[in-house]
Amino acid sequence: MFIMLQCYTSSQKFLYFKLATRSVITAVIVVLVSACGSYRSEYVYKLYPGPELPDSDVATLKFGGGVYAVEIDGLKVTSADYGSVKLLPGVHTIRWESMFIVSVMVNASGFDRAEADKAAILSAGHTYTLEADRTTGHGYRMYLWIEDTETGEAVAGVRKP
Amino acid sequence: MRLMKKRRLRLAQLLSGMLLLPITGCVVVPYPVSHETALVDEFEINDQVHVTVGPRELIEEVSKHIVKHNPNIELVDPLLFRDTAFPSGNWSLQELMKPENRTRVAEQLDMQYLVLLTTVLVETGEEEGFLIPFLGAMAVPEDSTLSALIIDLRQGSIVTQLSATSSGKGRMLYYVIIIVAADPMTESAVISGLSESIAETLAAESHSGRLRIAILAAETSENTGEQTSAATLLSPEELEKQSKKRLFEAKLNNEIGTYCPRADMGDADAQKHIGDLFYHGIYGIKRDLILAYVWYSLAAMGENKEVTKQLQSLVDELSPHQADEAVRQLVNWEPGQCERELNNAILEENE
Repeated sequence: MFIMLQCYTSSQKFLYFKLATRSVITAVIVVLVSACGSYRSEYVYKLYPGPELPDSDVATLKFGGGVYAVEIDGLKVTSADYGSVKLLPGVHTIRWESMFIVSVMVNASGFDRAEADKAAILSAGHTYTLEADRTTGHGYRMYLWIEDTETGEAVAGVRKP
Repeated sequence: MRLMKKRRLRLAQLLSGMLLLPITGCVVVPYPVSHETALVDEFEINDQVHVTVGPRELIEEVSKHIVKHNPNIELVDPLLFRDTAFPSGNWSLQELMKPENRTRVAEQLDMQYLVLLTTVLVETGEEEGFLIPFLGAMAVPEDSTLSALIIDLRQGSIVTQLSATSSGKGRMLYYVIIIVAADPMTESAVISGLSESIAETLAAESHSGRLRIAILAAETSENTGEQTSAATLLSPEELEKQSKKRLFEAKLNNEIGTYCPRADMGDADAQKHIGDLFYHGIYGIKRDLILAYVWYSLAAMGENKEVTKQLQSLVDELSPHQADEAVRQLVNWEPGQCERELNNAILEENE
């Protein structure tokens, strides 16, 4: 149960940059982010040249909860800037990161981070989500995958069983 | 009596803790810091620098500041600029700087200057203070840098390269999950500082006349544009073929990066996985029963129980000559072969 007192952030990017730098600071800032609630943009990033195409001709990629840093075909895209990305159908290389609060038995800092760098064939008219999840308890593991939201199929990575 | 008091005290502590638990949150207090702007010489125009609209918030913020400082400036929509300048999807700055491209864009959009921003680089120094479970107080030095390149599209020249830096110290007090932090706002300082300098430079260039400019970002990347442009120009069949090939290459690279170091270090699961790649010929690599035998055998020696059955059936598939060769390769096996073998397999396939 969280009751927010006050949240002033100059920019979400301020937090993201720090997230990537120091573990202890990262830990504290993640708490800060979760307490303040992380901002997700609704903007759409048209990541293809030429005129705007109908959704049936492009692939849509959305960011799932807990995904905070993304790079598509070598270009940086943050969830603070964009809520979804429109891409031409075909193969795209996608790198994304995620961070979870974990037991201190898993990671002494209380936080664990995972990164995936995958190539996936994205089809026209389909919507995909970058997902990240983890298991708890013994045999702790983080899973990162790209899910086709219509079929539920993992098109890249391993889906959490 | 003393014991009773102690128990009461503990009970009071427990109750107050339970009451306080739901009241959590964070207070981030921003405080402004100064900035410095200097001329730099850090941009290199090559085919790896790409013009993007990616950092939307940064572009919007800088645009707002520039127009505020110089109302004579009119902004071209960044996406319109990108799509006009790069109709094929090769978003490289080098491509844009070709005379026919830059003059076409300048004329089509009736504009003269292009401002390219880097992303704000925030670097934090060594933290001072302490952090124990549920309690901490820390100070972290922080430096932010933002650079910009101003290009005259009609002349094809770089007007100037600017960089703004700002330093401050972030402070943080942390108790359970209540955080009080002081944010030095170095990022805001460099954004407003650099914007001011850009506006002044452009005012000097335009001699107080009307000026149309575009503000976008510059990113350095090896593969940007190649994939999107390829996707645009190819036929659906060719696209599928290319897609599959590139997917296989990328997946194989993932496999090499993930499993080879482990397999070479003697991880039996990873060795079995490499054996599977050779046995089934996954991701476009050539099916190789001899190498599959070598890797399955290594996995079996590493006590991977799953592999024993596969090894048995594989032995039945090998010809006597292949079996001899497999044993010879197994005896001569040494760490470091995994990546080379997989790369050779894909090369042979391509040939």
